[in-house]
Amino acid sequence: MKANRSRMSFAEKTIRVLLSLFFSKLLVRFIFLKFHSYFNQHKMSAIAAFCLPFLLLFLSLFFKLDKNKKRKLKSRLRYFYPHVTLPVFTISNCVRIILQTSYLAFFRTNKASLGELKAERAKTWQDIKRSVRVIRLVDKKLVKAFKHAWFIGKKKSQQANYKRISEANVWQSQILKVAFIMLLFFAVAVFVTVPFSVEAQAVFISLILIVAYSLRRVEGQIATITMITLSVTTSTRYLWWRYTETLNWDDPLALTLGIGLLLAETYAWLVLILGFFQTINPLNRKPVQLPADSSLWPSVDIYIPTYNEPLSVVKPTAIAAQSIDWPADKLNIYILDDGKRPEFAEFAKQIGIGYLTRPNNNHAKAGNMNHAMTLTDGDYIAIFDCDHIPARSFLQVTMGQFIKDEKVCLVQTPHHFFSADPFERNLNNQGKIPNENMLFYGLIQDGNDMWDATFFCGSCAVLKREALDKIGGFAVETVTEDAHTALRMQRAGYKTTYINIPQAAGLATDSLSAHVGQRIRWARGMAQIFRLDNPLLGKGLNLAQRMCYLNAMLHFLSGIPRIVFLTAPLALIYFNAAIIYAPFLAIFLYIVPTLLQVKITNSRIQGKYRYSFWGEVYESVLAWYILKPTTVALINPNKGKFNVTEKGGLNDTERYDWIISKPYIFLLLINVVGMGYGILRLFFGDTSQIGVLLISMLWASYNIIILGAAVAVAAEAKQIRSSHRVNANFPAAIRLANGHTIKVKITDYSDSGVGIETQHIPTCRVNDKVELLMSRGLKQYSFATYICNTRDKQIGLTLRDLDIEKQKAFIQCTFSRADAWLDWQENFKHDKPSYSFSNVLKVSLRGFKNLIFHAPNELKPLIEFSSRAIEFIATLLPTKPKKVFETL
Amino acid sequence: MTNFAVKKSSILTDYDIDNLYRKFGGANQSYIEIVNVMKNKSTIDKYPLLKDISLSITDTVKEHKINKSTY
Amino acid sequence: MKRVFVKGIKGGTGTTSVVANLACVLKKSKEQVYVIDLDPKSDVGLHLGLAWAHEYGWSNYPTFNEASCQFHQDSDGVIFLPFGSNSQAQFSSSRIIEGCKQIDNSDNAWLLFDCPAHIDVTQYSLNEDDIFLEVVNCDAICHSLIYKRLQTLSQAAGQWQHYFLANRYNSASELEFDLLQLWQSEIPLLASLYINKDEVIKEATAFRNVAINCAPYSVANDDFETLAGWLVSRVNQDES
Repeated sequence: MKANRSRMSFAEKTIRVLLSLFFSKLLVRFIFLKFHSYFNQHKMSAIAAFCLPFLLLFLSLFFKLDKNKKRKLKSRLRYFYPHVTLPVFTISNCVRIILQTSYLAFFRTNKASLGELKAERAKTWQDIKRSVRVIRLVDKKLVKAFKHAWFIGKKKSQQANYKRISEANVWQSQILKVAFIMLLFFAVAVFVTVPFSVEAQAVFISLILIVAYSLRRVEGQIATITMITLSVTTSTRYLWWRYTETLNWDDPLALTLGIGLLLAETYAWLVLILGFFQTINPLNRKPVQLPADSSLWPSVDIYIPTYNEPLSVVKPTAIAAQSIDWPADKLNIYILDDGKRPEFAEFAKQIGIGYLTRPNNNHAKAGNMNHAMTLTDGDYIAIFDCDHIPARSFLQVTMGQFIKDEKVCLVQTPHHFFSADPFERNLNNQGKIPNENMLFYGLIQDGNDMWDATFFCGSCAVLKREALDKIGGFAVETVTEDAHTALRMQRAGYKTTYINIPQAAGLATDSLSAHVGQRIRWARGMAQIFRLDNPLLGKGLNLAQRMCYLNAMLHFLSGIPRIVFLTAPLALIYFNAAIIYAPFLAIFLYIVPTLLQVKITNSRIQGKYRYSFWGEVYESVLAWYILKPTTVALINPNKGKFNVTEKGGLNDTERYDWIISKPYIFLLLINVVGMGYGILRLFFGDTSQIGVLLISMLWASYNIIILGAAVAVAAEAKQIRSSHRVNANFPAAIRLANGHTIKVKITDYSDSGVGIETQHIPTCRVNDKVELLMSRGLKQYSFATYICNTRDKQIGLTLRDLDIEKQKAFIQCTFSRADAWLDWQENFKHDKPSYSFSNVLKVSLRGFKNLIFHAPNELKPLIEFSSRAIEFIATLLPTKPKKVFETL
Repeated sequence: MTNFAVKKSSILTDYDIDNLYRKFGGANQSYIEIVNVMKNKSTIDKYPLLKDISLSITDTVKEHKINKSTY
Repeated sequence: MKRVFVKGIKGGTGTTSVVANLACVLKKSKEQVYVIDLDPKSDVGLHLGLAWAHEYGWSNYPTFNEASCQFHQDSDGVIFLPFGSNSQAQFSSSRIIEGCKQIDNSDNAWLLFDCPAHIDVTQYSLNEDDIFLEVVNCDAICHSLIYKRLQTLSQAAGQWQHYFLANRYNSASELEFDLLQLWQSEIPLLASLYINKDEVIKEATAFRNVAINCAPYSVANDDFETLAGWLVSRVNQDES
């Protein structure tokens, strides 16, 4: 310090002397005081610090700058330039000051005008809200009115005439029936093929949309059939128009791309039509009662095939299987262990069930079961994947079908999951949105049942041994041996049935890559079946069954069409290739209403099982991956290997699966770049094609949203629990150490404990011993537990001292309750497309956020740099003046 | 008497079979709760008093119904 | 009017608690309930809040009409008639049973009789509308007594509905669990419900009250409600 001062004082001394020539002593002292303050406190450069006092002196000649005024001046400056940072004299600050001054000069920013602006904006927002409300009200009233109108119409017709007509003998005549159907087809054909002018198309389409709109809240089969007919008409008409009027034969590039898109659209149309056919009337089969004398019931073998799953996953299944309500002398359970593990053999011996192994592992599960068939002899075979825990009523609900009709060879029940699949877990929407397999087991398989085309899904089903023997055992030529076996049995003349009551539940795939792996196997298997045992050819199947199998197969061919749809708009944006060679208005009039109509109809039919737009997300996730296996399998069905789906793994950290999301990110990138390019073209390109360009950009942005959602799924959430927790709602009781009992409600359970809820909170603390009383039917079991946590009215209990008998009893009282899975569809409200879309949008935004958040380390510096740069530029922009509190 | 609510089974746990049939139709009277015959036999064998009684009544007693419907 | 006779298969099975709690549940369901104590121990009153010093009951009077002055009503509205201090009168209980027939003829009236364990059921002249509930515990002695009873029942002359009701059931006990499971399949007259062992049933008497008033959240509450409902279904089945 002293040295500084002495050094400074030499230069200071000379400057002082110089200055004192011109200024008074007071002034010189002032100058130096200011200089020191600026230099040391405000850290200005020496020159700036030196010049500033002079500037101040100069200014003081004009302005009287006393302390108050100075303070006022400072606060005013802070008010007008709130974003200027200290120290004031930097380059960025100069830019800020210039921009802000010009902003202040050109825009009204004084307090009064700001207040006005705010009021105006609030008013417009209110107006918007009000008009939205009015629209909603009008919509509600209109739809109600239409519903009444349809109802009246229905009632009137129901009364006299309709009944008379429908029951008239005229319908019995076959010829008339055929004639009527042909007339219907002819009418539809006319509608489809007659070319309309643009105006006529507009009128036609608006009529259809009005009808569809009016049917929105009308329930009942007739309305659904009407909607389906309308959808079939509009979409067929659309396709006809595309084939006949929109291919540009002159431009080879556009033609090639256009044909590609057209083929994809034909695929979509075919799937749509087949889907309507398949699900038009779900059968909803009811269980059949068994004879009252249980000694007449047939014998059943239960197979639990396993390969590499841990024992903890197989234990509950085996225990629950053993406690199925069926005469003990007619029930045999076998673990079919291809892993040949000694601990499994020991467990089987411990609980008293069979354990079978074989010398080799040929043909995986199918071979395993075929081998078991040589060692067992039950009349029927029930199969459970090793993680599918059956309810105790499983056999009594399913076996009646066999007794009622001896041609029945299969009774299939739904696959329900008590754990979240990758979509539900990573997007956190379990219980809020129906999961992916809900559509198949809730609707499609039920629809298949109507046409007697149910196929075997590998688990949670019972098969007739005689039928299996007739076809030579389980099919081993494909990797989806289950569907193939059912196909063979159907060809042999047997019937298959489906009971839409979940009587077992298991683990969903626990990571996106496992999920994709499983779907790849199914896709490959289906393609193999089509090559090796084509359901469209060969005998034994009727037309309806062939259509259902075709639809199942087409579902797995969705890879190419989905990718085409995800990239089609880019053809127009990048290459300006008119893949749909038609004027903008025509495109708009044909595409938009058709899409709307189809979406509405699908929402109506599938509303409880799948929400709108999620189908596109699921398809996009799988599209790239099922592309290759299906194509390879179609060409050469014997290539490719069987890969087992892993069950029971644990994800212990949160991470992003980059490997699996590469395709989505690539597609996303080219779409995003396409959007940018499109915007450029909008401003700088030629404006002749602007309508079509806008439509393409709209489509591309829709694709971006879907891909964003697909990207979001790849962010694997952390799984904290080692045992899966199942939500529940059934009564039980606890007995405290002092002998008092309390009624409780079981809110959830896992294989090691339960969560209970009680209105009467006992005075007990963590680690207290509590006796848990639960029942299975009329049998009450007592379990020793201790309290592991308490919160409000909830208490968590952990089981202790469980010997094998108590483990069995616990599974019987929880997982294998007959009503354990009955509410699998309960919580889902019917689909609302607009809400569903905003949901997908939210998920998509989350996907983008995830991408940035989970960026790999190489990219992190780039991302940080760009985000900081963006932040910096944002600070340079002018801001509204705001009150700044003065710090003294 | 008509306004008395009849509780059909032990309240301790809501009867799951009732729930099942309530949802999907069919009579829950048709469900047969399987009796664990092996377990009963081992109980009798385990306790000599029970065994004694069982042996004495085998000649005289009525027909056993091994499995019966719920009631 | 429905008559239910409740007796323990042996002493100390908890019969009187069952009667008292059942009476209370029925009363809460808007039925009219009368409890007649036929047991010389004369302890029904204590369950229903009668003062310990009050010694008199129907046994201290020669006729039913004179004895009717001893009808009391507890705070829930259950009307009960204590036995009294004359233990000899247990042999002339038939006059009280006959007399009670005139009490109330309405459809929703219940007449519950708390019978001593040592009585022979044929001593009461039962008809086919009556329900006889024999309270048992899940132990080996009751097992043997049940089978003895089944033998005598098969030779009995009269016709009534006879059931065994398991009381104080503790599923944590291996013997009780095994026995109840055995009885559920082997004994045709076993009631399809059981009363769980609950400390509050014992405690309630110390509080001069019944369990369902002391602990409405307890399992005992539910068990007695189930019992009442089951009795109703037995009665209705009989009538139809």
